[in-house]
Amino acid sequence: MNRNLVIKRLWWKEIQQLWPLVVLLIMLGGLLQTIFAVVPGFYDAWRHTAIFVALPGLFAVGAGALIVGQEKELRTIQWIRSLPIAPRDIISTKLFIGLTGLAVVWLASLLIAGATGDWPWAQRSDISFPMFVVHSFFVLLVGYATAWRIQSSFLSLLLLIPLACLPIFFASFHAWLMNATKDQAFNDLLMAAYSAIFSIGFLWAGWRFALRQLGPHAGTRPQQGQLVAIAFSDDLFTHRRVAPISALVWQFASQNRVSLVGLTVALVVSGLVIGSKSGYPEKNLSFLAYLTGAVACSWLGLLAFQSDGYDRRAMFLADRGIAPWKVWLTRQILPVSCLMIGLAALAISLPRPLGWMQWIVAMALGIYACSQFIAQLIRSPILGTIAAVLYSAVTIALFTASVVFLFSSPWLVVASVLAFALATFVMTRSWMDGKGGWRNWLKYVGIAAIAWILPMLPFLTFIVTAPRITSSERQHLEQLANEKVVRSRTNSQPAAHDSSSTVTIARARENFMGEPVEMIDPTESFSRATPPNASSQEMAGEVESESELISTTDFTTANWTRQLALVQAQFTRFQNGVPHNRFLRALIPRLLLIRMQLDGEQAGQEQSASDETESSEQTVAPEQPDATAAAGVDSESARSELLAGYRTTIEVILETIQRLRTSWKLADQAQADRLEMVLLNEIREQRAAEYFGVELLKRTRARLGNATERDTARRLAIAASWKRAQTDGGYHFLASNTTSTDGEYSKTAWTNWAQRDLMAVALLQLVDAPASDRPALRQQFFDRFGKLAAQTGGSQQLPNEQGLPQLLYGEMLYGELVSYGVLANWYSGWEQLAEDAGDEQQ
Amino acid sequence: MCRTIVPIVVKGDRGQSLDTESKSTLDNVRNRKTLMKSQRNSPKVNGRSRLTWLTYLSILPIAIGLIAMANYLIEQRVAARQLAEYHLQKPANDAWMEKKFRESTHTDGTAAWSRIILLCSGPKGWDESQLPVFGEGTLPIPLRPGAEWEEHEQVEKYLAEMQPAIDLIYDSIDVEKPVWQPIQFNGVATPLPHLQTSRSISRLLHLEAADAIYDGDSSRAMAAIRGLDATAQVFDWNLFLVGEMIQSALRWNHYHVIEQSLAAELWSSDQLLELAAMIETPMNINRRWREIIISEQMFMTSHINGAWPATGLLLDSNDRLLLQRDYDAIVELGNVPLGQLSTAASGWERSTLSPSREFKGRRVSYAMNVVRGSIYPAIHGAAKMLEHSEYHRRMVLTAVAVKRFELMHQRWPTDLGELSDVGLSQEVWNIPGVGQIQLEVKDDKAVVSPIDAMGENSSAIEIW
Repeated sequence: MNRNLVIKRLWWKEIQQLWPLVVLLIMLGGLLQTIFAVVPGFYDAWRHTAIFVALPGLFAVGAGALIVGQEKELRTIQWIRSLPIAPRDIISTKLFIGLTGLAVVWLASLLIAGATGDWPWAQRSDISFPMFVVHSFFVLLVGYATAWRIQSSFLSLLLLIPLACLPIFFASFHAWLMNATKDQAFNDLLMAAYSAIFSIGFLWAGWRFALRQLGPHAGTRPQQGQLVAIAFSDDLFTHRRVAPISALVWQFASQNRVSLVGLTVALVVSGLVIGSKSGYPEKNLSFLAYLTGAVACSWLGLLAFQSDGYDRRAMFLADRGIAPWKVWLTRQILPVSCLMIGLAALAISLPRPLGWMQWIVAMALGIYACSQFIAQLIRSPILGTIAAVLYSAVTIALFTASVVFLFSSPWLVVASVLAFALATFVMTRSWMDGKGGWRNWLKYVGIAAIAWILPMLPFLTFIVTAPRITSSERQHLEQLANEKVVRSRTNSQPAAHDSSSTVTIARARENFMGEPVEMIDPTESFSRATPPNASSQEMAGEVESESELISTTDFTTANWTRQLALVQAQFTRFQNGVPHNRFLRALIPRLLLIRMQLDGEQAGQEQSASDETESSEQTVAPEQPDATAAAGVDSESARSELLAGYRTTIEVILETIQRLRTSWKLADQAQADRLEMVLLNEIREQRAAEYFGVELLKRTRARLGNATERDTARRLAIAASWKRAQTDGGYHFLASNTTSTDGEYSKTAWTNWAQRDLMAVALLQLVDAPASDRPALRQQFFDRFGKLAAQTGGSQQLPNEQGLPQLLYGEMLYGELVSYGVLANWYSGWEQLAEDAGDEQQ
Repeated sequence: MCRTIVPIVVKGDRGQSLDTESKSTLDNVRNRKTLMKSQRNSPKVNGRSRLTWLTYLSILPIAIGLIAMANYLIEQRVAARQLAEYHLQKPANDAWMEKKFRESTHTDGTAAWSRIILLCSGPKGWDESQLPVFGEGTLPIPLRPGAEWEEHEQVEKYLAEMQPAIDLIYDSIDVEKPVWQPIQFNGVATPLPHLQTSRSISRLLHLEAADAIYDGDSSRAMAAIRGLDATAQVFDWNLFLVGEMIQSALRWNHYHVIEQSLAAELWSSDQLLELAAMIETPMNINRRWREIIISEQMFMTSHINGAWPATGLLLDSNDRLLLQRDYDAIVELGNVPLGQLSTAASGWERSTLSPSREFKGRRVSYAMNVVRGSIYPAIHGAAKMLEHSEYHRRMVLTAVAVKRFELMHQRWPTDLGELSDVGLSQEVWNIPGVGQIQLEVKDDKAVVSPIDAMGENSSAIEIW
């Protein structure tokens, strides 16, 4: 026989066996790295590196079992052995294909990691990547050796775990002897060296095991399962006085005794470690113990039905008329018992209760239930070993999320876990008969789906039964939202600068069309300002003066007026810009202070006038008229300065309101409301006409009295925010003003996401309703959406002596806070007062 | 299958009558009996008992596990019922807090103080960070007219701009206190911006008083001190530990300004009498303690009931009940004489966090410790804060009395006992079990030293 041809064929065969694993791992790695790179907040160096080294590690663990173990499982090894091919060719081909596969996976993992833009070693310089490479090759060789030596793939995988730790153990011991435990580089080198040394040992051992397996004497020794059958055949199936249940328990114990003992030991050790570490999972060893315990639970579940899939033992039992329920029961007793022993070890080792023991028990049973379900579904031990762990991990995560985030009753989770147990109970007959086909699979999938959906049932019911808006209401909203788009397009003018330049942008915001809107903040950002189209000399001069303003301790109104002039200049420069919120907050107290100063000045003047009248009746010294005149000039000058500051502040507020009313954000509408309330307060002051001046007062009254424009702006903002929420998950649609109600995060999140439709319609109804209906609608809105809009409107509850609602300045100041809600001031008493002010104007 | 055979064997072995049987039949029976006997004696006859022990053995841990789970569930059921009864008796939620807040405050001054809050908070287009009290600037020590004060001019300009706010405060002093402001109670997420801003009001008045003291203007200084007293009372809401911390800071400012003024030789006898009257009422620590802890309990209940779901899930009904009982116990700590609250609180903290602590016969769980670590108020710290505030008041009251004595007798008292001449009882400066306030006369000034319990950070008051 042509040896080259044989080797080529063998390579082809082995590649066929291995490529699904390689492709699966590469896809998994690519998917995870993409998720970490794309989803905001998911990326971190640790995850990135973990995926990079984990892919080859997983391949190294599974390759031996796949290439050698599967041959044994399918008994093709006997067929290969019967062929006229030299055993060393078979062994070397299997070995080289594994090594090549590992190299390919390393390369692919490296490329995937690099494609995200970050090389792992650039992120984690503390990790020795060559050590991981050497260790992965070591694990691969150990996997081969155990797979050749041990008949059961499951056991060979189980044995791989302690053997893979040998280099760590020896390197640590060596480092301890050398007193070099703190030198990481030395430890890594030791680890790599021991991995290499052990690799040689396991390569040799694996070769020997393989030769023995493929040699002429192999296979004559009865296998373990056969031995058990021989040992118990009399007792189990021929002697009439033996109860089948006990016999079946014995049969299960005998055919799984190594695995049962191993997994029980793993569970007990995990329990003791967790207990000794006080149960906190954040400690390295404790975390490892939790992980080991979880895997052991899963493999115990797998053991329930997996061993009977081998050598068609389940069908053997079926042929002898053993009742399925007896088989099911006897497959469960011992693993569950082992599980209980592990949990007991944990409970006993804890110096005091954990507090989360009930969740550990629930998770252990849940993992077990899922895994025994997988054991019946997937007959291949290798696939089952991996699938059981993954499936139970996903299911437990789902159950946990259901309880934590969807507030499902823990009893529903218990029901789900029982559903998995019930599924295997019901399906044991088909499993024993070896039935396959899509119908059978469909049953399993159906049961799994029910078990998954059960804990989410209350939340799903909530979603299904939640009220929705009608199609006509939706259409109306769409129409309004589109109108906003048109308005935005026609009104927006091109920015007078290059938006990519370093112009004064205190906070980037977007308008409805996604165009950047510059925000100006004289108190924060002028020093960084680079005015567009300005020469460097001009710029230097401007920046210098602006810097002076920012760091000023010049508290005078004149200085404030200069700042306002800069803001007005920014208004001219940026067509859509509004001042930074920090500046808006400064506007209100400063306006109030200046007006109160004016009041003081006025009172002072009146006082001095009355003093003058009194003094005119007395003898006056010849110097006094000059001093009085000088004081009068000073006072007049101060008054003019204050008046200028006051009026400019009003001008800036009016312009800001105008711009805020064109915003699509409800929060901006609320901000405009607050500024209008401030203006309303001001025009209601006794000397408003004098302080404002005729023209400014006229404009202010016109602004306040224009309820139609206010309503139009609100209407469009509701629709535009609603539309925008379709793409950003509702963040901008009152979401920032949403707090958890009754702790039900899930429902609140759902409210943010889904009930925005209802809220939008309710708000539109409020805006469109006649004034007489609005109080009732407003109350309905608050009752319906709770904290989405504030009920604690201080101004609603504090009428002044005329019975009019008082406008609380403090409330205006903190209006942006969550507790007050963006809509707290909509159609409350101040708007009627504002409209009245407008009417007076007319 | 096997079980149907076994009874027949037993029946045949024990109950068959042989009288009516033929010999051959007898032989058969004998043969069968022999066979049965041999089966019984053979190892296989004992197969049943030999095989079943494993089944029983493996059922045992399952049975124990099931019993343990059932026991746990019953325990939880009982604790849940007790917890429900507890909440029926002591509701602690947002609505209850809202009602309580409304009942304990007044709305007369709400609008005025709301405006004051606005005027004193937030950015105003200038930089306050270089000013004394507000930022890095410093006040002269001692604060006396004519002392070197670099920032004085800036301070005067600032105060001139803020004069309308100061006047408004003075105009709003006489409202009924404490003053209600709109608060939306939302458990741990309850925002308290008004309380935060109250510190700015207090700082403004502190600066105003310092400037007045520096200028030797006693009536202006007195007005500012009255304003400080009123500010502390306006925001004396007894809400949460954080609220009490702010209240403590407001009171500290008030006492501290009086302290500073005593070095300036500013006051007349009448003014000193007014200062003494302002601070003579002792703090009701027991009541204050109870109010704070009850509001903290509301915080906690809201927190574990869903503000952070993971916390709630870690606690079973027993743990939740224990938490409520813990707060009851903390409230009771307040029923001790002055000076013993911090000791009691410290002891309680130690015993509560002890690993050997038991509740209903079982040791407290780790989960409880985790949760307690994140939500329990700093009991000992809060107790010390309250006590120190009261010690501070007594110290300042004593210092005022010393100055009054000096004005009355034109000499410093030789010991604190002499202060009875100006109506200061020994109870003020001598706290049983805690210590005494000390008086020392140095040249032309008297120094009132704090009691040891106030710690090293407390400074003495110099009276000129």
